[in-house]
Amino acid sequence: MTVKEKYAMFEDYLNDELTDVQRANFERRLEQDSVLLEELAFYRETRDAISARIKWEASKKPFIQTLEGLSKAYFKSDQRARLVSLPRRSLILQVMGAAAILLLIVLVWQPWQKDLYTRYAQHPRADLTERDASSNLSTGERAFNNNEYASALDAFTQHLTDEPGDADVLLFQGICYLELDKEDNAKQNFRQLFNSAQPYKDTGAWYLGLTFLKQNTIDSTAYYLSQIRESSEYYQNAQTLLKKL
Amino acid sequence: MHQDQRYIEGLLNNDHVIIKEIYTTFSDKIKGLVLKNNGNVDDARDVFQEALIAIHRNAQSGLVLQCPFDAYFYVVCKRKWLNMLKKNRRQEVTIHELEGYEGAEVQIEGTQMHHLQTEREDFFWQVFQDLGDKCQKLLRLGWSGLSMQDVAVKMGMTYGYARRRKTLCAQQLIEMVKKSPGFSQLKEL
Repeated sequence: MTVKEKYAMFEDYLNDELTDVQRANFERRLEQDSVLLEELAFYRETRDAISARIKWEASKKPFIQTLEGLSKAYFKSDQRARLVSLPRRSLILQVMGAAAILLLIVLVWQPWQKDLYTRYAQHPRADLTERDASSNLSTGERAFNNNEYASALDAFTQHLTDEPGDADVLLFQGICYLELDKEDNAKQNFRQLFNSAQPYKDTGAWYLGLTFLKQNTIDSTAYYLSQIRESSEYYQNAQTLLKKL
Repeated sequence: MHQDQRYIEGLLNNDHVIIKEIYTTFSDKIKGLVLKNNGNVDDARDVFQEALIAIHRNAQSGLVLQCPFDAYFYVVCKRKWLNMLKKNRRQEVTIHELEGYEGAEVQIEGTQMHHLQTEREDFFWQVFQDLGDKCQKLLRLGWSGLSMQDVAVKMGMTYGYARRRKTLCAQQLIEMVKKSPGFSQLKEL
């Protein structure tokens, strides 16, 4: 039996597509060949694992939507710097204190991270429709490519009301949110992509990384960038950015 | 089966009341765990959400809780956060336990086997995603319970070609799994 025949036999056996005679012969062979038996068990495990995951992928969407809604209410980030009033002290202490506060503000604000974000937030063109098409999608596409993010957001939101599962538009809607400083909304879109199958998972990871970078949350930026697969188009940029964090 | 199985059923059925109860009861604890271990609120949110997603998946493949949900959820969140820290390689990877949860690992032992099972499944899934698009589509359809006749129609292939191609894709997947760096660790799970 060639390798190809072996896998064809595994499939037919597990799908119950063998005749009685073929099945009996194959099972006799399994009794005599422990390596073949082990290979069949591994094949079955792989197949069952993928089937279970496929089934789960199809059912998880409404569940994740529930979580997104609740997470927003129960995990509110507070990234405002706390300002502490200084007691009266000598001039030199006040100057030192002011310098320390300035340093603290710079460290919290981290303007160089903003530059890093601007450098890496190079968004793709939206090519979602045929030329001259007339729809919410084409309106959004034109506005997005002209950097008119508020108009693009309205159009993409309209489109997603009709087609809520459109992953490409979820991405561009997320970018609009990001550019309009609505990072929490952006994260919701990018998390949906991150929780999807590839290649959207890598796209979601890249944009979650950028969103956290914009908010100066470096650990989360690093976490999402490190999730990107080596074969992804975002991998090189993610690795370079990771080194700069 | 532990009486807290109701949480597992609630997650499985996307029961908003039960899920909200989980957030109300556990969000502060998990925030505490992550903040105590070099994380922030955003990290805590990710950990909390990813843990629930993992449990939802376990639930679909028949998770039966043998311990309190509290201990189980705590350990799943702790491991998620530990993995995130390890991946970042920026932090010390010793977790400081929350007070009252020092014995949680022991408590969940009966339920742990299921967790390992899903780790194996995760590994297969990661490799599956590295297959070419056509092979992925063919196996998704072919292993979803559809007949090969229907699969062939959906793929725009003849029945014979779809069968041969599916076998080749399955073979390719198994070979990729065996060559994958994680395969030797898989044997230990």
